[in-house]
Amino acid sequence: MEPLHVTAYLLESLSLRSPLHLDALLMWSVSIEEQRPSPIAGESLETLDIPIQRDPSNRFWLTSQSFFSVERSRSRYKNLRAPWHEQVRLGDGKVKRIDITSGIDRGMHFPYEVQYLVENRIDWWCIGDREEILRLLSRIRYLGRFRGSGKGKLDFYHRAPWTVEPCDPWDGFPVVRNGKPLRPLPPNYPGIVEPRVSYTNLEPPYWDRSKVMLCAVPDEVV
Amino acid sequence: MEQIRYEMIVRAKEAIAHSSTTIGNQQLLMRRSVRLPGGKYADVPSITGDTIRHKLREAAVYGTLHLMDALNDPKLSEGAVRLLFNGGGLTGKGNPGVINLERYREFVTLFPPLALFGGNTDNRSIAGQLIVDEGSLICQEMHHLMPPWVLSWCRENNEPLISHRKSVEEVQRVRMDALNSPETLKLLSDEARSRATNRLLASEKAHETGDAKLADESKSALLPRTFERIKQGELLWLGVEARVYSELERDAFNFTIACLLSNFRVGGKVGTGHGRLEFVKGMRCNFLPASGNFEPVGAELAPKVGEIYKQHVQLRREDLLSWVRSEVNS
Repeated sequence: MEPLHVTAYLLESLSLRSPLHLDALLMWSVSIEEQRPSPIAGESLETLDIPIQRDPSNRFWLTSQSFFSVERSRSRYKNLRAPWHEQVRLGDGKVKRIDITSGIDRGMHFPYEVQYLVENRIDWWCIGDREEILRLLSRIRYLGRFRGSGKGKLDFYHRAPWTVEPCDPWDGFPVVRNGKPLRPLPPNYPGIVEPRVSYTNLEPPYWDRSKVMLCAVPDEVV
Repeated sequence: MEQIRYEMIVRAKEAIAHSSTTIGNQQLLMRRSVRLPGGKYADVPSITGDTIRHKLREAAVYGTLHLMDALNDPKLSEGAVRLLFNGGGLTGKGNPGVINLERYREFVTLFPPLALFGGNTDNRSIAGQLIVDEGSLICQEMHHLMPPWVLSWCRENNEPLISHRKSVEEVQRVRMDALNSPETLKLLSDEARSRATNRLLASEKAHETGDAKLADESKSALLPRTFERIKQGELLWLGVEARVYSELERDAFNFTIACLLSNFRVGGKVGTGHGRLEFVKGMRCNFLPASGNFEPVGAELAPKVGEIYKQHVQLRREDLLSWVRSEVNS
């Protein structure tokens, strides 16, 4: 395990509404290798082994959250249409009426945001096993939301999309810098000064709102 | 587990009318913002990944129903149609906390495209294993984003990279008002003919006198409208990537792409000569750690693709039929 600087290079835009966590990406990579079903909110989870060091209190992984600067944002839209035409042509005829204004068949046209990042790059810092991290990350070629429809594509045409390089650690590496947290941390974590606090998770899955707790969080938000 | 990626160049055999929105009676083409070298941005025509992904989903379902010989008498249940054609929805029935792994495995083994596309069933979202890129116009503005093999192909085949502005045209269509035609008027009943004639007279009078209110009341249903489209013959490139866990899934993936390419249509106005795409050149991307290399697509996408999948469907035909006709919770 050594101090590392991890960088992802994007080809175009991506869609994010919360920071990307390196431990979550690595855990996803391990879970698809082992073909595990996706986690369910509120359920207890078996912790998967990832090549990142745990913090001494064993509450979280020693990795920062993602850091990047947004150059420009644009709105895009998704459409959902009930397959009423197919229901008529291929269905068993039991459906007499389809309500496309409410309920499960409701049609939707909803906006989402895509971001263009400065230098098309995202950075993380961590303490981990370089080779193993690179092996797991090489499987990840899209980041953020709506990957299934091509958002967040990494630049694997013109360069290595991931770089994992040893770096010089600083005091508090890799989770605190200049008294500010670089990832969600317990509010009483040593070395942080007057942090911003918010309800979030310390471990993946970060989207599981049933497990949020009061944390010291970085000032930078997406 | 294996990650397979195909990239291909397709040619617009017909103009592509894939719109993003309508302003008044003018329909605008779907475009996406692209950062150019130097920091400027350009809105370049593209086909959304959602569109191509949906077309793949349709191709997989229709292809499988065809193999099952079920298209003549499908009788799919409501939930099955929803799950197969748009990924289904969470019905609120069932317990999402209980992962019925057996049932999930049964689903994806029986119908491997479900594993690729994902969906909502038994009140649980199943993530897909398929990523579909946006279809990008091969043009000057996309030069820095194109895979090197696409650029080489363009050079070798004397396909110049021109500005996207030259690849788009605006055309006009007019929906005629049948009641403006003297021939059609003769087919009407006396009463209807009199009404139509009076409306035409009122319209003429409104025009002569400049009466805006009367003009509005007596206007015909004739509707001129314009829309933008990608010109016929333009080239686009797109990529599809899947994570597969078995030979069967891999073959189902190839079968799905082959089905799509055999009748690849996107966008609107397909009923009036728009949207047909033709496969030109394909590459398979072999991923090595942290980089990729490409090799030409051989027999994977040829018409005989999908032998394992076809055999699977024929062997499990009865199970598949009873599944798609059962009460699927989706």
